[in-house]
Amino acid sequence: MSELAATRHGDLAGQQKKLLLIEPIARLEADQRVKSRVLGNLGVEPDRVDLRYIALSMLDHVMEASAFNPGADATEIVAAGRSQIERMIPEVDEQTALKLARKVYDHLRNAAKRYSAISVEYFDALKSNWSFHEFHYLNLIPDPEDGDKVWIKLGDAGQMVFLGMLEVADELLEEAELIMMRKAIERGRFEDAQGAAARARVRSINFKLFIQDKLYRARRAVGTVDWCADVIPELDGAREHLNRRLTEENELLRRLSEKMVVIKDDADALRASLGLKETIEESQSIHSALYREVSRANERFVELSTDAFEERSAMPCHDPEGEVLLPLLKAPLAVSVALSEDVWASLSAPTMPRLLDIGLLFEIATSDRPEDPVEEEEDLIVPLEPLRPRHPPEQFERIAQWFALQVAQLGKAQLSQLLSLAVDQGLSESDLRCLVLVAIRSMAASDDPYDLIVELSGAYRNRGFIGDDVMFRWREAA
Amino acid sequence: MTTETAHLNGSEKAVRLVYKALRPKASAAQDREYAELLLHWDASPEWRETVRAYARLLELEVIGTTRQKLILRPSSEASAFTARLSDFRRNMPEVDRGILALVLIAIGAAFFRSGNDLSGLRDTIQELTIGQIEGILDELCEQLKVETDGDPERRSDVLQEAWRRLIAKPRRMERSVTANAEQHHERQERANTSSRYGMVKLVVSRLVDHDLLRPNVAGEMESYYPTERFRLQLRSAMADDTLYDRLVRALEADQIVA
Repeated sequence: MSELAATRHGDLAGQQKKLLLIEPIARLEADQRVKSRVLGNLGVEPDRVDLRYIALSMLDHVMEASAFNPGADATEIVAAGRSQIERMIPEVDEQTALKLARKVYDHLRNAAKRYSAISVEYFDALKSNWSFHEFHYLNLIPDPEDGDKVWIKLGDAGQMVFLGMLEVADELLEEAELIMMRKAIERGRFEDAQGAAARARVRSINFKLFIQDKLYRARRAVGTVDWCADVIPELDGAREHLNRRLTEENELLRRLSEKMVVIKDDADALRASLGLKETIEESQSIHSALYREVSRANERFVELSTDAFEERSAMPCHDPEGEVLLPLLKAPLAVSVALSEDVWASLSAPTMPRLLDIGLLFEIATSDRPEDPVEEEEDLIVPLEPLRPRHPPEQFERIAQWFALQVAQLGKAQLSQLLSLAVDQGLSESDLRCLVLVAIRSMAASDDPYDLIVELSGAYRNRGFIGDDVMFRWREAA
Repeated sequence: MTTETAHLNGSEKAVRLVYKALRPKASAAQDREYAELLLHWDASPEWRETVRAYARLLELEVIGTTRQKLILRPSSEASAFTARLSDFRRNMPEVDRGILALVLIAIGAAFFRSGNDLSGLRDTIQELTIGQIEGILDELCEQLKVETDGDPERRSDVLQEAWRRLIAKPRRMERSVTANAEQHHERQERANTSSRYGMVKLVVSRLVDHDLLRPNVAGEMESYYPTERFRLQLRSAMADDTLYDRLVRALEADQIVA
């Protein structure tokens, strides 16, 4: 192959790589199973929705959301996709739209492959072999200020695809959009103007992302940022851009207000013009926020440079996988057993000393005890030791006979009457308790040796107690 | 400047901050007093020393801060604030205790593979599902199986290599056929010690309780990502003079016995 041809092929390989960035999104749409699995049950034709469009709308949402925050909230990205699906298929229910949107989001995050880089194979013409191109559409990033907060940001491929959607450089685009907006307002085409207004924010968002990136890098390793050479000219550019945009936006709002007076009787046009007004005002707030950020950027950089001199741990840190997990897996499990308390303590937050934990109480009550044999389930059922009877059998027998005799003599007797009789005859406290037990036994026909008829009859009062009295009748007497 | 802590002197504020930090899930976003105390922490290096001193008296150590919280860990095994495995599960069989420790380390290694990953100089955060964490552990065990192919198994029970004991535990309690069913079963599979997946799920849910992991529920697959506390605690554990040293000593002792 001639050198010229090789260079030309090499150049094309670079372009080919850019082309590959869109391939996984195209593949998602081409794989009809994704759509038919979700929509099939509803009887909706899969070709009513284009997943490429949904994917691009999600990238667009991330870019827009990045105007206010370091990135987008993951749930809101899915919601943005869902609303597009609902627009394409109005009769779809919320759950189905959400499910499909989640599938697209998972695809963009490469969730199935452990959220790693998306890898696409291509033929490297210069090296004459097959190679892999790896990239991310969306990255999970820590908040630059708060390490525990996370955001979704466009990855390398996400940015390329997004810029590809715009087709032109952002400065040119901005100019073009401004011209379009002015023309559109003049002609009363407010919806077009609104789209243009939203697109015209991209340059501002890019400035914001640039500043955030530099500050983030400075926070992590202050030496990696050449603030004077790289950032200050950009800050000047951003300030100039913002001044111009704020003037433009005021001018646009002025023209729009004039136009709104003219169209005040046309409800549709008025609604559209209000939408445009909101978009322009929103842009103004983005620009004001960016202005604050630009003004504070130098100050923040100085703060971060000072922080860099704060004490830091210089402990050497071993590889969790190679130096700890693998040796532990190769060693006998006994080593892990011996270390288990240490490992547990190392990867726990401080725990409040426990006094009584209801959750633990349940566990203690239901857990196996060391003395319990664990393997054989039958043994878990321990034979019940019967309680020693409260009254000796002789006493019980004597009182039962006394009870039967009294009921037989009287024909029928109330419990209160029997108790008074017993007290009169000088029966002991223990005998009285036994009498109540005997009486209770007679209340259950199955336990009653005398087959008495028992029924509630009147009230029983005794010192502080009140309750139903019970009547016992001999069956013959009945 | 403040309303919540204005009436407190420096020592009292220090005690309040340590108290707040003892609740791992408390966050300045929901607690104005906590937010004020953290602002004070940022502003005053001298006061930071006071906080550290009070923490030391309670056998606690400050290992870092975020915008939302001060991160503490017990400074010794004997500290009253040290979590104990026996408090989590009483009478857990020895084998399960060992596997639980391995699973904890495996989760750490899945998110932070190298010491470099723990340095904090990372652009992106790794997120993983429970199935993926379990998959990583499986792959490592399979790799060891291939490496030791043909080696006889001479030992049994806890003297057997850890990876053999892990493979011996069933992967899942429920079988599934399709990818959809797989996802469904992942949700159904219970967090317990009877399967490898259940073990990972059990440990992940505890790490969430301790604010070491957080769930991300945006996509169809429920994934988890590590918090700053996880990174700092794992980094401490992987440094010399800590868990790492005890591990090395335990491994050396095993060599001598073998």
